[in-house]
Amino acid sequence: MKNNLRVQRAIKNITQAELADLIQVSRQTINTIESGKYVPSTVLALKMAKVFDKPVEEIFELEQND
Amino acid sequence: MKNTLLIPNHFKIIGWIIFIAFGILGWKSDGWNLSPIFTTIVEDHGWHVEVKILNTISLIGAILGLMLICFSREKQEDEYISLIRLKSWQWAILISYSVLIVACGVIYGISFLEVMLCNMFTIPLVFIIKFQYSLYRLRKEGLADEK
Repeated sequence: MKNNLRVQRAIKNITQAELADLIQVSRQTINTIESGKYVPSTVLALKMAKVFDKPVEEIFELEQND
Repeated sequence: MKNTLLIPNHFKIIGWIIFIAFGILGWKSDGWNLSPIFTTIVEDHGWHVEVKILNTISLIGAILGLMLICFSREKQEDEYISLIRLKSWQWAILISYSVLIVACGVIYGISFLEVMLCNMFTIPLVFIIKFQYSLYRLRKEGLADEK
């Protein structure tokens, strides 16, 4: 699964740490999600979508091999 | 998702203190082997069971200390930390049972018991090492990729 979290963050102009605070995870977790190392749970994905005020599909996208 | 098995973060430091204190006690009482400093005899149905009080206490203390360390929450426990926790437990089980398999094949008699005594500690110890190392790497990667 790929995501455009970095782009969404840039649009909203918030840092990893700020996003982490908003959804109550550590900054490192946001970092691993952005670098594609970790696929977040549905709860976390929905929380992020809420922060960016966009549907989840606009942030996360399935890849061919998923 | 909350992991209800975990205890508050400050138990980690208490765990270390207990583990180190009882570890030293065990070491001083000749390393948990079969030479007790203080023994009592329990008589029950004609059985004579020798209870090595110092060994027993130090063993229980060390294990309790390790359990406290293993099950204490991180300061910021989130789902990624839970994943690292799970992976670290898997490594710990894998290594401990690998040692068990090797020991079964090559060690016999009383030395097998001694190896098993030490192997009791591989699960929590490997867990702690792997978990802390993963956290350290996570923090380091995070710092390198700041912003």
